Amino acid sequence: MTNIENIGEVICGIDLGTTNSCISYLREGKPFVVPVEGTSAIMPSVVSYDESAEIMIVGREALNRLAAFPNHTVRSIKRLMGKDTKVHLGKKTYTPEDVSSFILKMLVEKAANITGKTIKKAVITVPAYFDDAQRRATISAGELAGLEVLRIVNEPTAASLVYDYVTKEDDMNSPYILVYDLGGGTFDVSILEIKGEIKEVLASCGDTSLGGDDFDERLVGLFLRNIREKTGMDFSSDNRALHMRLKEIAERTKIILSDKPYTTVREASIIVIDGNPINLDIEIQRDEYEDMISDLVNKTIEKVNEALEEARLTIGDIGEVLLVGGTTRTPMVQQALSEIFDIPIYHSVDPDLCVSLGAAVQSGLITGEPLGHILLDVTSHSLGIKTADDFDEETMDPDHFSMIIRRNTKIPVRKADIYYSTYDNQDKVLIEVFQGESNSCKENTLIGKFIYELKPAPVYCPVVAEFSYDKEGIVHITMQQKGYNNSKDVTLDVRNREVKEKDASGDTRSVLNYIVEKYKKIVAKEGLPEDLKLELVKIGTAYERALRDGKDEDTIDDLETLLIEKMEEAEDVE
Amino acid sequence: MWSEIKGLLLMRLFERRKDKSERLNNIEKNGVELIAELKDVKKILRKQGILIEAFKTDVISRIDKKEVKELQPYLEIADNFFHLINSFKEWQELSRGHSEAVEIVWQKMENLLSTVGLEIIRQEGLSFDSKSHETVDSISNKNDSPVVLKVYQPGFIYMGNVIRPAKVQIGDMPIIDDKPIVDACRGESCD
Repeated sequence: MTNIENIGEVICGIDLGTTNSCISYLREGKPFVVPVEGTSAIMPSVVSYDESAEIMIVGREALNRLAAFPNHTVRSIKRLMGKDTKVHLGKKTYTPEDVSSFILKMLVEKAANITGKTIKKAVITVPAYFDDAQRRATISAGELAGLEVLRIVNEPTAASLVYDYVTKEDDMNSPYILVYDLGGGTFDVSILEIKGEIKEVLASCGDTSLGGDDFDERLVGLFLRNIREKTGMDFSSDNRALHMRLKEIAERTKIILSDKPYTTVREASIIVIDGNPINLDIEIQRDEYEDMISDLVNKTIEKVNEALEEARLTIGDIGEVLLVGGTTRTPMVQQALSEIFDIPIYHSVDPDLCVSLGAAVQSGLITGEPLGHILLDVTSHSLGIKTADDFDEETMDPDHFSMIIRRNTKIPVRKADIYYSTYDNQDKVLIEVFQGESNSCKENTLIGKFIYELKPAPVYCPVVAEFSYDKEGIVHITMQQKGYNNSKDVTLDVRNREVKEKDASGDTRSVLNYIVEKYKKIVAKEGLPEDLKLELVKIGTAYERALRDGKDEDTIDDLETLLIEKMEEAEDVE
Repeated sequence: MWSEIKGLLLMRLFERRKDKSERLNNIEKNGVELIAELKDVKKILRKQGILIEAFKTDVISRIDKKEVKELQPYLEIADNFFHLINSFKEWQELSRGHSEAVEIVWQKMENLLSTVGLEIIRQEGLSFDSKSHETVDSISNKNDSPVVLKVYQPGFIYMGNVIRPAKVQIGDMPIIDDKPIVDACRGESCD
């Protein structure tokens, strides 16, 4: 078998999206995305023709020209693929295939420049609902870009291929996979059936005008209502500059509310009325935001049920749920799905890049290149605390597991939630941290507990619990009594079930992290003799395991010395 | 007598040998201890080396490689200052003194941003550049070589990469006294 990398040629995987596109390739059996837009791997699927310079501009720059040169710029060309239509870019006329080929060509050129590899072949993804004409048009676009299109793959299939190579804890006992894809502007849900090596799309439905942008618009609406309350004036969305600014603030707010239970939006001079700047200064609770978007999330759940009906399956038939698209980072989306499906919901692979990475995996499967497991550090159990939202029927003691970090979340991760005191002047609260998947703490595992003293305050005083989980299995917990300048930091070793008050161990840990990271970097380098690489992996893995399992200091010390010696040896080889 | 002398000599010889062997043992022992000590020193040096390396990497990453997310507070303060100043400008023309004061604070802000590798895009009157400007609206009639008439939101460059383009209104170059306005001002204050 030929090692393609050795001869400097790679086959790439391309997610040719309606709004954005990505390109990936396989390196030593693992898929990597290429950062084609500065530090970002996401390139807007926009093409603009610069008539004076006679050049075609693609990506972020083309998007920047959209309002300046609307007659020379085109976006969402994917919606026209397979249609007998023409697009005008200034004086020039193109087919949708031509326009898509410009996007593909730019992706490939940039990827080739960045990686230093030659790219002549590609696997391109398309939505599961694309018909033959649309698929043929996509192949033509690839050929026009000078590529040999090895295969057209359905987007949900590509996403599921990545997860085939992600280390998972559970074995699937059903051949059906549900892929829930909620992007910026579109929503798709597909059900796949595994038939040996093949994954067949059984059902696919969605909404072409539902996505994260609608979530942002709900927040924009809230901001506009706030301005109306202050000014008595209605500012509709036809004020483009105002809308643009509010949209950006909304996007930022949405991201913060994915990790924190509340945020304060403070922005100076949103609009000026009679010389007076109108500012935004509002606190938004996650609950409040979730109320605003609940109908949108419910719409997606209706589509999930439609897809199940179309596939003639029930909820219980699905063995695995995969999340794709940036909007699936919204906790309410994950919550809504986990309430329906009592099975693992996978979201550890970057949902924006998942399809492109899957296309690269498919390229490896076609060429027979050996594929390695994609090692992702994820939480193996959900983590949370005991609350009095429910009670044990026998003892009447509080027994509700309030999850803060969901299972299979990529680590390091930081998440927070808000709780309330249960009576006036409550002086303390026992924080019991559990891991597990049941709503009842009795069925989960207690991993630590500590007392958090409260300052005198009326009942329902908000208390924020923030969990930050690092790669060594250490959870840093920050408790904060909101508005009372009262916080407490606690470190919890999940593996050893040890609670520590804040100490200086962070510095030591960062050095240990550095050693692990350094050895991994050395191993990933090309040209290292195989025997040395194997030894490094062996010692490195043992060292990581020793750290994780909390082995005695001497064992860790010995392994560390061995590892550092081997790293030096490997560096000398370079 | 002879046998006594012989016995004495043998004893001395034995003692000398014993002494020598003890000395040799001691040297060997000391050598082993020395090697062990050297190994320990080497081990400590290695660990110190890795500690310094980790520290250096941490410092460099803090200085050099900020994630765009980490830069957000800098972006927000510049944004808010920009909008606050615009709110004054929108209501009435700033006096010369106020304009100068605003420019002084902007320059200080730019100096501060440059310490973390950030550069701000906020100039009006420049030619539209799709690398650093995103058009929000256009009032251009000619549609060729437009200029930035108004900046709605500043943009940012970080380590040579545009991390956020400035959101702008573009149009045709305004003419004052038969001269294009950008030439007349040359980037200096136009009041």
